[in-house]
Amino acid sequence: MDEQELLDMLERQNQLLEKDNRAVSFERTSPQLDSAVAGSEASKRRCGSDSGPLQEQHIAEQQLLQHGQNGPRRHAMRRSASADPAVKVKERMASTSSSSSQLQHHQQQQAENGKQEEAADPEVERFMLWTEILSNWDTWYRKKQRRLLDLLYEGVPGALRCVVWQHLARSQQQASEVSAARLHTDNAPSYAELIAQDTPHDKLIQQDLARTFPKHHKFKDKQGDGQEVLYNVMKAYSLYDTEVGYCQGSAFIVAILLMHMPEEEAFDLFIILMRDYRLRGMFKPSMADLPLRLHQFDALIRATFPDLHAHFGDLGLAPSMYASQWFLTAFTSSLHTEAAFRLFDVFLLEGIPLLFKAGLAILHTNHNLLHRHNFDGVMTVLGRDGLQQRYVGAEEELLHATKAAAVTQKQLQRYEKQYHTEKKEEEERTSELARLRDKCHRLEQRNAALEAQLGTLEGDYNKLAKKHLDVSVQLHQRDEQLLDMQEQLRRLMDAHVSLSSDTAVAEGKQAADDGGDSVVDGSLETSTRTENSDEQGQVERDASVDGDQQSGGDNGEGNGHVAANKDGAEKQKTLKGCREEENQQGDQGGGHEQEAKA
Amino acid sequence: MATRKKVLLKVIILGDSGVGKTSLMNQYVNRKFSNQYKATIGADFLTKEVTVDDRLVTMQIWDTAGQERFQSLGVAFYRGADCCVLVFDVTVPRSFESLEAWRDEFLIQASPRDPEHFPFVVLGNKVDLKDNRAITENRAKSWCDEKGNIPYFETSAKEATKVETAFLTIARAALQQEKDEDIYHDFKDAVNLDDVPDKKQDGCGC
Repeated sequence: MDEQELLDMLERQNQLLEKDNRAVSFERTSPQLDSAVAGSEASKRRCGSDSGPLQEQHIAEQQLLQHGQNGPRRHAMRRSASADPAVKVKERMASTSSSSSQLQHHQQQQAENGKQEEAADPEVERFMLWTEILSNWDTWYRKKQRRLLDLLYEGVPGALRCVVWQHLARSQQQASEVSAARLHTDNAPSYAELIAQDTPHDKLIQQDLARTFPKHHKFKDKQGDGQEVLYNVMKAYSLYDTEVGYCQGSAFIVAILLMHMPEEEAFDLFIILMRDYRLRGMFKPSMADLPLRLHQFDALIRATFPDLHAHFGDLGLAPSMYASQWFLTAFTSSLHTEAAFRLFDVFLLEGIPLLFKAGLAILHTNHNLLHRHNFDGVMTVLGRDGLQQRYVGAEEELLHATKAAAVTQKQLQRYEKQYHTEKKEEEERTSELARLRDKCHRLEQRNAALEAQLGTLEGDYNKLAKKHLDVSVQLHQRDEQLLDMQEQLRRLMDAHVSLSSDTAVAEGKQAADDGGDSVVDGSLETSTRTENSDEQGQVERDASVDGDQQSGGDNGEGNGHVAANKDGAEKQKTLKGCREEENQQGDQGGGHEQEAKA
Repeated sequence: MATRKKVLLKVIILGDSGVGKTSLMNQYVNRKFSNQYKATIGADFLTKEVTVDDRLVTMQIWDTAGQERFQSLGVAFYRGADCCVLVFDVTVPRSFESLEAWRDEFLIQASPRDPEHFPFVVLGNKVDLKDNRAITENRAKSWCDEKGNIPYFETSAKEATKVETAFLTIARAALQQEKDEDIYHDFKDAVNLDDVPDKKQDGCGC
């Protein structure tokens, strides 16, 4: 800023000051800026709503943070009465311009007294510039955003951080399509109402209070107001956004806000960060956006530091192992507070891309070290507290590298798309795998059932086969018996035939002797037929032979052959018995066969 | 196996938020206790070289965030774990009741080859808070017995009670698991050789 501009600005501020007719009190002798702002009545009025100790705490803390350079804490203490963000912004701007005008006035006085010191203290100059920015916020935000960004990289004066952060957040909120309408709707309960309620996340919130900046003077004591206000804000948010509730990590961001502003303002700002800066997606129960950010970051490392990416790949080291906390706490838990504040200054204008840039900057500024290290070494550098002291006094190195890191929206969008595609494919693969596993399981079950069935059937089959074998053996034996019997039968038949022919010859002789031959003819005829007849026929004919023999006997003729006839009858009887037996066996065999069939 | 180089044992510590996972890890690795630990966000890890049964091993111990919603983020470092340590707070019944869920979730995500025999060790921490004790040793032990005789230790990270003993058991279990994995790999190779002719036979069958 050149001298002429500065003078013009001072002139304007002076006029404003006179118009406002505000008293300027000099509460502190040094540093100059402190006194310039501290006297603002508007500030005092607003501070009135805050508790005394809190206010003191803020001042003390601010002094510490600023190393006594400047510390008009009361800016941060202002509590707007209006719920309308636009009015709030206006009020803040008015207040800022009034305080800045006081500052300019004081500065001018000093300049006059000190005969125009060669160059003002750079801190003072920076403070003046920022007050000017705040008083013309809309212009700066809309028309000079590039320059605004440069200035944010150079750092916001600690004293103005609260106001600057709130201005940035409100502008982001207004620009964001999702937001404003839903914020502070009539239905939304007020902060006071929220903190009066009970939250289901109470236990976890309480548990984390002492574990959020446990070494920071504001939060280390259980009785300290820091833990109390942190509890209030986390509780209020968990009730305000029931879907997210409370998620570990978010308390670090809120604590960073609470280091600069009172609880209700921190709560309002946190809502904007969650919704309009899209932090919310990382904190939802699914934490869905965290793997997305980690994927994007991994892709950025590959694009920016291919060698390092390859090295990490060889070590089996993924961003999820070290960078989760970077994204979940916006670096607030990983770096010392001053470095975290500096990044947060820029984050509020750049949003999520700043987180990637800072991540790349950390890799860049430790590049050589990381390249040499093995898994353990890399994790020691990038892990939990590895970076805590790394940028103490070297904040500029980090900010410079962050600014230089090239991350474009286009890139991020491309990686996001890629992530979703890969995720979808992965999900498809997983569901396909699940489907196949299910199918496999069902088939296995079916297979087992079939095997069991097969086992039963095989058992049955074996039983039947055994039975079949038994029956076959029996049949075979019967066949042999049958053959024997047939053989016997044949022999008997032969005997019978020879017997019959003997009888016939004998009868023929007798007939020739007696002169009658009819009976002999009949007998001979019968015996000839018998040889070819079936068994049943044979039985009948056997009976007729008996009859013949009987009739022969009755006649009392051929007595010389009676004995032979009797012998034949005996044989016939034996044959009959055999046949009956065979029939019986045949029945039995049939029975077996029937059984086998069953 | 005799020629095997340095052994790296990967151990994962799981359990509800605030049960003392970070404290136990730090007590074991750095032999110190602090009540100023930050809440673990995401994951963190420490390594320690120890001699287990005359073997020098490096233990890579992973500490995790305890909030339930962080469970799904574990995948990257759950894989290849050699032992899983389940921690609960003996003064908080709920943290004991959560053990089952932590165990199941771990098995799903780490998907070890033989989930039935994957080594777990359970630590009931904060036994120094005698007056607030809510879970008895017997109750914890019987749960561990039910789950396949999981070794159980009553520890106090604050007073360094049983921490060393517990981690030695953890190291042994991890080492055994590591060996089993090796045997499995050898075995798998042997099976593979047999597999080839089998496949050929199948081919002929078609």
